[in-house]
Amino acid sequence: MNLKRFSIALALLVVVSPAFVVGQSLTGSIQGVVKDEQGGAVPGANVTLSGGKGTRTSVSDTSGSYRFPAVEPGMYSVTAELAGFAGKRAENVEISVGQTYVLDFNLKVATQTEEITVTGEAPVVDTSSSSTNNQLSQDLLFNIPIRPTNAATQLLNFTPGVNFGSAFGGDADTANGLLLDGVDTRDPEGGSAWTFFSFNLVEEVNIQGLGAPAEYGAFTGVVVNTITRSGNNNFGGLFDAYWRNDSLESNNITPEIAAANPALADPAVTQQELDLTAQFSGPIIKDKLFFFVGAERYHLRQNPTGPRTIRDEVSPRLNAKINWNPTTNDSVMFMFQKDEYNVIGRPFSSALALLATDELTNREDAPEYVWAAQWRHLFGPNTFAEAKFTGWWGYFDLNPEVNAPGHFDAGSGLYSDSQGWFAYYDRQRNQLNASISHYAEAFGRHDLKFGIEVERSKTRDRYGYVDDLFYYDYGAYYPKGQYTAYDYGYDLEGKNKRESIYLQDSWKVTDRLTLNPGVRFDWTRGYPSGPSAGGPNGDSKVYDTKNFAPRFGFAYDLTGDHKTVLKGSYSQYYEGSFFYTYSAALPGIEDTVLYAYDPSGEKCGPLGNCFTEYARIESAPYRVDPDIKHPRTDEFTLGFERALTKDVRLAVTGIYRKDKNLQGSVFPSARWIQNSTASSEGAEPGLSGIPVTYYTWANPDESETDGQLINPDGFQYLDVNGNVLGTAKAYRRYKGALFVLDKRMSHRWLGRISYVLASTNGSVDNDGFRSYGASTLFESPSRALTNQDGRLTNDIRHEFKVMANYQIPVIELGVAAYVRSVNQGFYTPYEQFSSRLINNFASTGRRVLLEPRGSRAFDRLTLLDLRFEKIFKVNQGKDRISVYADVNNLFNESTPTDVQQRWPDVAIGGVDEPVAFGAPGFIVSPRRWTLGARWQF
Amino acid sequence: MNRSVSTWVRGAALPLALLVGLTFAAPPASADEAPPTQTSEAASATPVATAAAAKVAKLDPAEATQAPAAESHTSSSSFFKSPRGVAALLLAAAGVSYVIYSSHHDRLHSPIR
Repeated sequence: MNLKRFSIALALLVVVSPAFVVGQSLTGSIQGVVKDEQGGAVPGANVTLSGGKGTRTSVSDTSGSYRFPAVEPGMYSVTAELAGFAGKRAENVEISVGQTYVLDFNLKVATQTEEITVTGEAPVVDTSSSSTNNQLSQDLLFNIPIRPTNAATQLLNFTPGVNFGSAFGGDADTANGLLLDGVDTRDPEGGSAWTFFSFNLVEEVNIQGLGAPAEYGAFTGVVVNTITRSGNNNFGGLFDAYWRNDSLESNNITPEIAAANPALADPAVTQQELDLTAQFSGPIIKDKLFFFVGAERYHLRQNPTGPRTIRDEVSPRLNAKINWNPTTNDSVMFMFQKDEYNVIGRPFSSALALLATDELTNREDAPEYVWAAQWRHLFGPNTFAEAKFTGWWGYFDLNPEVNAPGHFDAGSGLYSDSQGWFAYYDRQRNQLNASISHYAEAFGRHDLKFGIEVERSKTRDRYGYVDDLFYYDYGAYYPKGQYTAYDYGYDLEGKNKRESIYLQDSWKVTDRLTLNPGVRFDWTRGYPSGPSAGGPNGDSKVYDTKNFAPRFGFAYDLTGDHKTVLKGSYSQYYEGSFFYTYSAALPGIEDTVLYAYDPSGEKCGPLGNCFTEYARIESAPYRVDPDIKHPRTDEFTLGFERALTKDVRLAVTGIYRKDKNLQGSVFPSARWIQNSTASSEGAEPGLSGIPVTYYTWANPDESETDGQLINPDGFQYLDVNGNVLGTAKAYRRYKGALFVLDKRMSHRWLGRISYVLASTNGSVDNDGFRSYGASTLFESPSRALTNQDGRLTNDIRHEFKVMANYQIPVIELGVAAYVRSVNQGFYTPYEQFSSRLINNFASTGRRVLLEPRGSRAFDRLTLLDLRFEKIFKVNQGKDRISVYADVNNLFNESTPTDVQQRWPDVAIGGVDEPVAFGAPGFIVSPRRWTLGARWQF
Repeated sequence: MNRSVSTWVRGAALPLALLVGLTFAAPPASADEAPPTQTSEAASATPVATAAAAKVAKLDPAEATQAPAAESHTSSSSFFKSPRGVAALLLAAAGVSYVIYSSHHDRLHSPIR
């Protein structure tokens, strides 16, 4: 049969009108209508979908419609043929996660069979989705100098509206869902990232946040859905190495910075960073069985900032994936990852890292296993089902570098000898997902999805002091170890249980109007386990919430040509199931025992110093308010998108978010005495001697074992006569406007410019682990009532990001740039008062804000990163060999990323003078060059 | 509060004007962009479509023209005999072996495990 091929750059006879409908999770779909030149339906046309894992066929029905549901992300060609018509093929049809590609064919009657090939590029604007497109496309991922050392936590910081792990004002790091091939890899304790993985493993990243459909839940920030590479019919390989050492690193510590904080005068030096990746994939049985194997070893050795001299981090990782198509209607996937995280020289406290000498560090041993098994069955072109079992197991142990009790000197404020504590964290998480998706036509077109999720996770946290002693010295008056000491520890085990059900629809009411209604129900519980199982009252469950979360969105094609869309949404997002929401309610926390030096005492340390108990702070499990509500975020969005050209998109989105049901702990039977004092004298007159309101605990003995976990908003603090001294507020609000101008790769260049104008304020900060759990924030009215309202740490007022890449022809040199300019948020001076003044609280409970929250602004951070890549195409272009050089912080900026916030100053080990308030705490990393080489086919 | 509101209004004025203008502005034509298609009439059967429908009854899907595969498949034996295949296999084996070695050699075994 003669085939006459034409390659056409534009769709003259083929109406390519791709559009997107959000509705799937790890797959997309393709659908369309086959028509003739007059626009009439063409039934019986054979439509063939061809991709890396084989082909699928469909036949257009009486209305000319065809569908391919559950299509894995990747590049495809789609061919429509019918005898008597000239066949048409669309090439380069790129399917992404969660998108439906609408591809119509107009067939021309032909006297001889011709095949015309057109490019099936997707449109840049999705006129059927109410979600905001925050995709990190492959073009962006692999052409921009993005090389996060920990892809899990850092990829989302490249998207507009997300900075320092805080998405649209949400709590940093803990509020974001992190999925790896559908596996939730967050720590079930508090939601932070647990699984680390290689950037080279990433095939595609889909970020859902604004207007996310009901199938996405258990988060209040954004969801990062990372799809890893897999095998197909063609053998593929990726071999990559990148390296740097101290000769490629600059010093950005200025004399002024060193003078303000002498601990920074000894900056971090990278002695070596080496990342080696080897990946290989291909078919085992053509069109049926495919494999992927990956190995990575990451090694970082540094001389850190401050008195420490070593930090050594080694992460070996192995990945394997099998994709199996036992029948044309079934696909099965198995994924397995084993990785380790080994660290020498981890500081005893991240907040006090600059104080750490080598003896005040620990070693981290953190292995884990991750697995996923998935089965997908197509019942026909309109219906498919998925079942997935995912999970992981791991732990991280922190053992002190020096196995001896630690010392803290109350006079100098310095730690010494050893970090003095150990900590062991065990985790396990399993989840079963099942869903069914169905396409139906009734009053329009519906993409329906119904799903169930069952999550079970376990957490065990252990903490204690070496030899059950931590020395509290007063070296100015007593020899070391002859003043006081204390002991504390805990062994907490818990189980999280969650079941979720969701139903969502992408309802195309007319050709121009799409509605996206959905609803999600989460039942979240917490239980003690291990020795604590059974519970204090015989009922083992300590936490129980049931949450309904409606979602609604709309998208309206304003001009009818798939180029302009007005979209909006209202969504409720409930937080995930976390151990930290109820861990304080579990038995397993030891009493804090205070000892006084006594040569005849029975409690003796390793050097023969002995002590007698003189005080004990009893530990009692908190009660969980039976009416406690689970943390939730309400979100409104309204957006406009316009395709300026076929490759350029402009998007403007207005966002309003309010965090509700924030949780905390209080002592309901506590009574307080309001007092006033003056702040300490210091270098800044505006903070010296200013009046400060604080509260003394009037009845700690009667009330300190009466802790309760509640939603503290509205909680009243009472004086000894029962009068209201003040009412707690627990809230967080975000308002933002997002402007994005995107150009995808064409004519050798791509780019993205974004600007976000936003405001985040409240009474609960958003710098991580603030939305739930027990803390002194609401236990101590000195913290809850004094200067509590204002701007938050991650209140990023003006965010400007630019990414661009250009491939210079002839010499085949790629140049990529990433610029970001953000104001880094706000901070507040605080003074830590003595325990004589603010009694019965650990140090954090005695920190009182001296000005309204967020009164001071961090410096604006502006950084430029570049990549230069020389590409060699060999073997007729089938192999791509490149050498590249990345430079981060090209202009060697030395912007502080944190400041010393304690008034008037703080002592730092190895530094003669205390470091004053406002001095730089950490500095952005200096200019660094990294060299790399890659072979890919 | 008033100051923040006026700031928002000023900040939003230009983008709002831009939005209105862009909504009703035709996108610039480009050489490689298809002109918008005419909206078709209601999808009633046309003579051409009728003919196609008649052909469907007679058409055996197996007789339909099969499009060639989008990518040609390289057989396993030929790939592993090629220099590229050998190099890839060796590098992959070396990489996996090295990572397995590292996971034993570099592991910081916690004393309690």
